[in-house]
Amino acid sequence: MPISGVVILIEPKKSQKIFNALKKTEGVTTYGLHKDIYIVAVFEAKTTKELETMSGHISKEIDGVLGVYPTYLHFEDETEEA
Amino acid sequence: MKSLSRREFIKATAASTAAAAIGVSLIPGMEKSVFAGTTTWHKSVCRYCGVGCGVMVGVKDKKIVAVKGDKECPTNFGLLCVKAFYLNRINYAKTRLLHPLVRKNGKLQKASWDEAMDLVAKKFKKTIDENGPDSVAFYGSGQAYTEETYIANKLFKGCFGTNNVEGNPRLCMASAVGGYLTTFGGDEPGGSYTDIDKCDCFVLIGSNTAEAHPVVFERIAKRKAKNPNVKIIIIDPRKTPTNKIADLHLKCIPGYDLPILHAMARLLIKEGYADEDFIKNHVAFSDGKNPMNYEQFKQFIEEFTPENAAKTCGVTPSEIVEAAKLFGQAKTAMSMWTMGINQRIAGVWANNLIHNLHLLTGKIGVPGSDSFSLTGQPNACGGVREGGGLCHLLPGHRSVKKPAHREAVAKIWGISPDKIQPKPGLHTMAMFDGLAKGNVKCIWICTTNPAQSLPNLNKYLKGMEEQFMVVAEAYHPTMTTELADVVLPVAMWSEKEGVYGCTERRSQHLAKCVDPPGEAKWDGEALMMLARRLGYGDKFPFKGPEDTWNEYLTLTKGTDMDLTGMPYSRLKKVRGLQWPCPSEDHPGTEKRFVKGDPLFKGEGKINFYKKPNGRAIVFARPPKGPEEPTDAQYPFALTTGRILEHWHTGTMTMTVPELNRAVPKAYVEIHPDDAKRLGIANKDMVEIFSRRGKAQMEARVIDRPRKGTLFVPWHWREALINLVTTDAIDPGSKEPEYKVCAANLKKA
Amino acid sequence: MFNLLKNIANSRAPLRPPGAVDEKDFVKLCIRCRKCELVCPYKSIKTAHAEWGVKMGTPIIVPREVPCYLCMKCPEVCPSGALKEVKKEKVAMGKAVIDTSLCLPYNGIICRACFERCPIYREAITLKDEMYPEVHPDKCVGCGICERVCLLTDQPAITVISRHL
Repeated sequence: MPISGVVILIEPKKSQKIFNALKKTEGVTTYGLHKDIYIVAVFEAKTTKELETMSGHISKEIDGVLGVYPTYLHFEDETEEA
Repeated sequence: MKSLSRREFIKATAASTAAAAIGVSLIPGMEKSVFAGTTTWHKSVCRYCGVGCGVMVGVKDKKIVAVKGDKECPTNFGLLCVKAFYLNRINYAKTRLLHPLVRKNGKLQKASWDEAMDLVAKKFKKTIDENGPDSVAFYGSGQAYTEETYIANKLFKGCFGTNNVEGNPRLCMASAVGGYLTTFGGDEPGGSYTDIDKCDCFVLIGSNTAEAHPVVFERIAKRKAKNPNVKIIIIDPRKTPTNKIADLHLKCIPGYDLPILHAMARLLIKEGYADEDFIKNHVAFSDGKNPMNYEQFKQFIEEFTPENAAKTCGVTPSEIVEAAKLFGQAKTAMSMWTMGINQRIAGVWANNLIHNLHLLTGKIGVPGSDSFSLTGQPNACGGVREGGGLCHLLPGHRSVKKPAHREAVAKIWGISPDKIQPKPGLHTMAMFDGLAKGNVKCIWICTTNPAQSLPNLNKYLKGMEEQFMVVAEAYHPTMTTELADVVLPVAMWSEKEGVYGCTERRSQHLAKCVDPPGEAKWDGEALMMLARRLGYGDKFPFKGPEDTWNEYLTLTKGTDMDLTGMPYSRLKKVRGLQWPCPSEDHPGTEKRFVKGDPLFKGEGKINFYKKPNGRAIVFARPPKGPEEPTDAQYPFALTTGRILEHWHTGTMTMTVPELNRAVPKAYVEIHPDDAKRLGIANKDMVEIFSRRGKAQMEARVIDRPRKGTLFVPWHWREALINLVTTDAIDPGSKEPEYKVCAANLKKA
Repeated sequence: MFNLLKNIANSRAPLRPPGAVDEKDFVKLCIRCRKCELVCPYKSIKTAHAEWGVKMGTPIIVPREVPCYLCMKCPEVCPSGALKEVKKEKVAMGKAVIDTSLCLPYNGIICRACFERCPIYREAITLKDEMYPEVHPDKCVGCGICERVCLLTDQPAITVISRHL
């Protein structure tokens, strides 16, 4: 099961809405708002492909998200638990 | 489970890497990272208030790394307050004491256990030999485990032969004990937390439940949220955070709530809300000295019209009428109270008057109804009230005054019944007065901090400094250890096993999760070291807490608080049991005095079997006000209390930086009108003073206390409000009136 | 990507003292006299250092260290009009936001630290179901007391976002 650590760049004025939207998105855990404009989050998905879809969905569909930047990827368990 | 915790670890790594990319460090604070690796979980109970929340203690590499709510515990169902969330820190505070200290040349210096105990034994022996056993004393705690209080009780009352055994529940629950004993004949509430889920009307009087008992508050709030018809009446001089859920707030003048309760009782009878059948069958009346009949009681309360009561109490007549109506109309009702009622010179009487409301309306002994005192400390009920750790008590709700009780205890203790004195020893305030006067020359203090927590401290500090004082404590320095002659490092929560008994008669086992640090020992062992040195070793064959508990259980057999069905083997499996629980196949007792209670005999819906005729007593008590009314010189009523983030003298909570962050220093709440009049602005430094002493702190100008009232959370030693408070005591319960004194304040 | 992050980082706005005019004007009007910093009884106001570029020398507030207690002394002493006198309730330094994945009550722990200390008491922050804190942006003045008292160890669960963006 791949896990990815990401930095989400946002429009600060929309941060609460973005938090709420992220909370509703399955597989996303947030780790706080930092320096007004970054939300640190972890994505979990069944496959790396799904991870990419998630990332795309978040940057396109959630208003106020300026970008999603993965900084860490872990996928050794992919076969084990998929 | 293993793969989950591993995944949590990977997630934590992923998050911290992402955070590092923007120059932020996450890991130190990320509680989630503790799930990584092999964390083992132990079942325990929260160390703080009297609610008795079940917690799971996570241990990794022989260290407590996390605490989470125990979802299976019927007390809190996994919910915790923020103090408990940071419980995993208190064992590792920088202020933990790791070796004994002995005062040499005026300074506390490191010593060995043998050196310290030899000195303690020599002092105790000499003092007892020269001045008799009543020149020594023990002052314990509602935070010590039951087994520890039991050992101290046996050593002092049974072996030394002095009843000078007290504990801080005297400062906290003694009036509630007095209330339950006088009204019902037996201590502790008849109901349970489960009543909350069925209750239609709550009376919260003298209790800031939201902060002092947060988990109980959430249960009440939940009950109301699901059932909007549930009514909540608050009687308190302050608009506390508890008020958020109130339908009605009677903001009375501190110390003047007794007439409100009488006026409510009068209206309940007048308006036909009384349960006349219940009164006829289960209630007797008394004026405190002589029995009276129902008619005489009605005559007594006739003068407490809403108008008359309102005049002295500072509320409006219509508020009293409304309160009585809500209480009367509700099918079920629960009263809950804490220090606002107990810490008063009319504490026992106020307790009686609360019970009156339930007895007159029959709102007791049925699901959803009870007169339910909330306890302040986690083991005030279990260790001290049940264990008999007060100067007039013996284990198992027994009294030193009764020959049969002394005999029963002496038999189990293996001593002559004559060894136990028939006269109660010194109650807490008399004990510390004895120290100040030099009549008490040696004292052993365990798990408590009286040099900060006693009222009117100026009167007592010198005695603590002058007499020989042994303090068994997990932390140093505290205000008390600083005055001690010997400080013994003891194991604290999770470093020893034992039993806590909470508010609802529930006894729960606390696991030993880790070894104590440094040379710290179990309190019981420290006391037994003294026993052995004074030649009483044979009376204490206990290898540890379990043996001690087992001996204690034999003393509860056949009493109203029968714990026989609760050996460790069973307590370790279950989430506590409520007494009476006479056998291992008994499920415990949710409601006392009714069917299902193993001691309930005969027919009828309720039998107050602790009273000779099975009737509980409705008391016609005079409407006594506070000891020290306000006057021109001291126009403010000062009241002290607690906040959510800190606990008592702060020896534990103030070692947690996160809790300090929320409330770093002392403050006094003052009404905006009063502040304006005195030219005091928010955050100004002010000095509060009374006839006894003064303290400086920041002003918090806020519309919470009623006009003319000052409220101070008492946790900080830097702003020692107990120099200002009064040590006037309730003549019955001997509990001091922390909650009201006359004071004044000025800009510092 | 790095450049984008860097640009946005440089454009981020600090929390300004209460009564500050819009950021563009503020940077122009502020004469870096530090009077507001000196008058602040709580040392809430600090001077922006070099990492703030052109904003160097202007007053900023870092609420996690010391928030603004809204004593409103600083607009009174501002000689340049960068800070204008306003009522406490009308202050608009920023708005607080909550990360509910970190916030303790949303994780089953009773905590009311931010709610209890909010100076716009029971208006700017309320508790849903007597448990879960919620910020009301129309009432929140952005003083940062909530961010200061949030008793998470490191990163607060409630953060104030500056108005000046």
